[in-house]
Amino acid sequence: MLGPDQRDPEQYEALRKELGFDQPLYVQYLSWLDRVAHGDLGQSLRSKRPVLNVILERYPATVYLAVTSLLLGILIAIPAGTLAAVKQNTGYDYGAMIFALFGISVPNFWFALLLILTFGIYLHWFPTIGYVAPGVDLIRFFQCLVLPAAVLGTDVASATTRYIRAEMLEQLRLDYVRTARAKGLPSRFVLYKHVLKNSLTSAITIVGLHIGRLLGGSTVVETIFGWPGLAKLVLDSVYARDYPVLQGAVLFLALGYVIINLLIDLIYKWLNPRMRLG
Amino acid sequence: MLRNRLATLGLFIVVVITLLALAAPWLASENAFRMNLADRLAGPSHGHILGTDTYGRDIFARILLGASIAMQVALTAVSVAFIIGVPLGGIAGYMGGLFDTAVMRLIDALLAFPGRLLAIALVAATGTSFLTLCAAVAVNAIPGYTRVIRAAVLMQKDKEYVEAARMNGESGARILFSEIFPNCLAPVLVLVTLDFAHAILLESSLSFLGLGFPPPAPSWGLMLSEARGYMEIAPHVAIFPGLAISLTILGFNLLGDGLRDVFDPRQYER
Amino acid sequence: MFSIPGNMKGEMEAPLLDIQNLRVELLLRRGILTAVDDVSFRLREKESLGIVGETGCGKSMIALSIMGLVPSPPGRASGRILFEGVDLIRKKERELRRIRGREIAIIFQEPLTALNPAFIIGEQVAECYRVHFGHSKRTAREGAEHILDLVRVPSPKQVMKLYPHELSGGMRQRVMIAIALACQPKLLIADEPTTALDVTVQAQILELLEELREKMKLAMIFISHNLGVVAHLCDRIAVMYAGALVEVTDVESLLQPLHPYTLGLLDAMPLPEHRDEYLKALPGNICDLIYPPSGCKFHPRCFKAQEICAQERPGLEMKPLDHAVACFFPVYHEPS
Repeated sequence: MLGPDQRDPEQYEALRKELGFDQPLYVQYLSWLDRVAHGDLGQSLRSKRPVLNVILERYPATVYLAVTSLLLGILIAIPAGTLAAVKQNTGYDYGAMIFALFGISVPNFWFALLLILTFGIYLHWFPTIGYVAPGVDLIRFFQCLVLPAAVLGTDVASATTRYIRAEMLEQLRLDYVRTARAKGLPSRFVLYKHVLKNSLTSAITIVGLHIGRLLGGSTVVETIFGWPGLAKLVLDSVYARDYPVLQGAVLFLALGYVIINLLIDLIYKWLNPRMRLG
Repeated sequence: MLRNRLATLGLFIVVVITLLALAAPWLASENAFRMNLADRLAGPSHGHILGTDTYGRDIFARILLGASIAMQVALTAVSVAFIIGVPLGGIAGYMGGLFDTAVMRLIDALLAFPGRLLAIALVAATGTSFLTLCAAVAVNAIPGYTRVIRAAVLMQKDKEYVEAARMNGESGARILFSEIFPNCLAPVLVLVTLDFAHAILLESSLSFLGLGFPPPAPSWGLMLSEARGYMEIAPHVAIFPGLAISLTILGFNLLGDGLRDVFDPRQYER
Repeated sequence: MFSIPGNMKGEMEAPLLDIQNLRVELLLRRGILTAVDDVSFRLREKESLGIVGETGCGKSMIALSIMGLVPSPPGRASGRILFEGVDLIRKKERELRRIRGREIAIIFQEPLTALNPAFIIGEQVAECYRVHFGHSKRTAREGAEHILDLVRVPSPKQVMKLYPHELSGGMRQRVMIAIALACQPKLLIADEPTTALDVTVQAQILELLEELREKMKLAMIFISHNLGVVAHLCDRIAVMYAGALVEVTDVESLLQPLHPYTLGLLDAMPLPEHRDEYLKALPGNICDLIYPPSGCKFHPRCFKAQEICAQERPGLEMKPLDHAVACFFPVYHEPS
């Protein structure tokens, strides 16, 4: 219906009027903003359903994926980065650096395809496509979650490992570490309690930076694995030229992004007492 | 030690890819498009070093041409970003004041949005074409240059040789170009290298999503996308293009890191 | 080769700390830096020894070696450090941990960086009780309050809730002292504790240390480059130069120093009596510790140097009245 090829001039005009396309661009934008402010994101051109509903349906999937990937990434990066820092210039260190390097260079969609090839097709361990809501079948949900989360998670992990290593090295150099050892504290205790708390603040900032990457990476990952999230919605609406949905989804994502960054700022302030006093 | 070796590896890869990209249009453009449906999805063999894809086209030839495409996009996009970003940052840093603040706010706004999403939105708005692709990549890269140049200019602005030049009566623009910019070369070089890596990644991502070059262009990302459906029977179609992308990006990253080490001796990590 | 200066009050009690031929070398790219060059001394219980010398003479290294905190690459300690008869150099890390903070404690120069910026004071002090005595959170907290009170921190309950950067320099140093003394160690090492503080605060801290020394019957090693500060607090003083001891004696005797270097140090001290005179600075700089001069390390700067000084190293020898000096031509003073 939206194709530029098949249209009957009268129908086209009528449609234009109906969708308000005959107005100048800025008027259209302003009236859209006005409607958004009232909670009306318009109607999907494809399905005729309210955009808001479509978005609300799809955003949980993205959230599940994003949160899991972040957790996975951090769970890998912290031990990896710490180990690399403590055993600097040994095999562990080089290993971690190589891991980080490959993480940056290997495109995540290729990595996804490789994972699908190995774990999905050859080993048959995990489903390669699909999604089931956690309410419906929890086990199946997790099975479907593994591969996409692995792709995004390693993406986050490889970039974060480098930073954590650098931060740890910086902290281990400082005086308070010497004091802690002078107190007679065991070194692993010193590491986990004293050094980690100080390194965490910078780690949080890095994670904040990655939220953007995560969102960008989600578009690809959600598409490959058929994960029905917001990012995939954006892409689908681009293909289908369903502009109301596209605008609504992008708006939602942008808002989410801003809110998350705000949260990260707050967490940062809480973790770093020095900033609390301004 | 290892760092140096890695950087040289990066340089080697970059040189090889550049040469291949330059030579590809002569070597490979015929084979890259010649279909041979009888021979589709064949594995590596004498006739076809890397096998054939789903239309029987030679994968090796397509990868060569893909290198050419990737480098063209990267070169154009990075050049555009450079041409726009560097003067912008330079003037902002030198003049300061309202202009500076305005530019920085704009940059911040640009940076605030996740890059890939921005690219997708741009392509969605203006359709898929070589120019749009380059624009999308360039927009992502501009803030980097602006910031780096501005910071470098701010550092140099109050130095004596600038004062001396100003007293000589040289105009701001001249000072900027002849005195200050040569001193900012180092970080910019690093940025260019790393931006090439980003550009190639972005281009292949967009092509993978169908938002880049339309078929039958042998863009690496597009090749991967086409290979998805046939992974079970012909995995090699999915492996080789991905390998090409990874190696190229790795090369640029290693080179960029190496250059950064050379110019910034404060690397106490190693 | 030389005799070990001890407190010759006629008794041969086993010393609390007995350092024998301590040598600390740092393996650097340029060569081997000898930070501590064959140092020996003894310390009895409740005795306080001051170690004085220029920056870089190795005094801090001695402190770190006693604690086992010499950074292990590139540092290497050899010799014997006998604490209550047990050689600390031979001890494994796990065993050293039990001694650190509990039997021997150390306070450093800059309390702001020495304290962990991420934890409140109460937590950092209470930690000592929890780790060494296994106290519960509440007991540890009470202990922390008690020791903070002992070091004269006003309103300890409030201060315990603050972060290090919220306190003044003097307060932070009191906290460091509290942390060091929390487990009632037998030996306290103070490495330039007042150098980073204002003069008035310096006096307060020194007073505090004196009081605590009495009250808790501490043995103390006080390291400083400031003779005046050390003279106040210590029974005996050891003067170090380029990693070696050059003179060891009690405070009064030091006013009539035997070693030319010590004389130079005393002369360089700005005293009110000499207000109208120029400050007499020691000529030259401390020698290169990787390639020190032959013979006596001080001879290039020494006004009494003679040929033999460039050829042989003088050992630390005990002179009358319990005064040890490492010099071929010690300074003699007219009886006043």
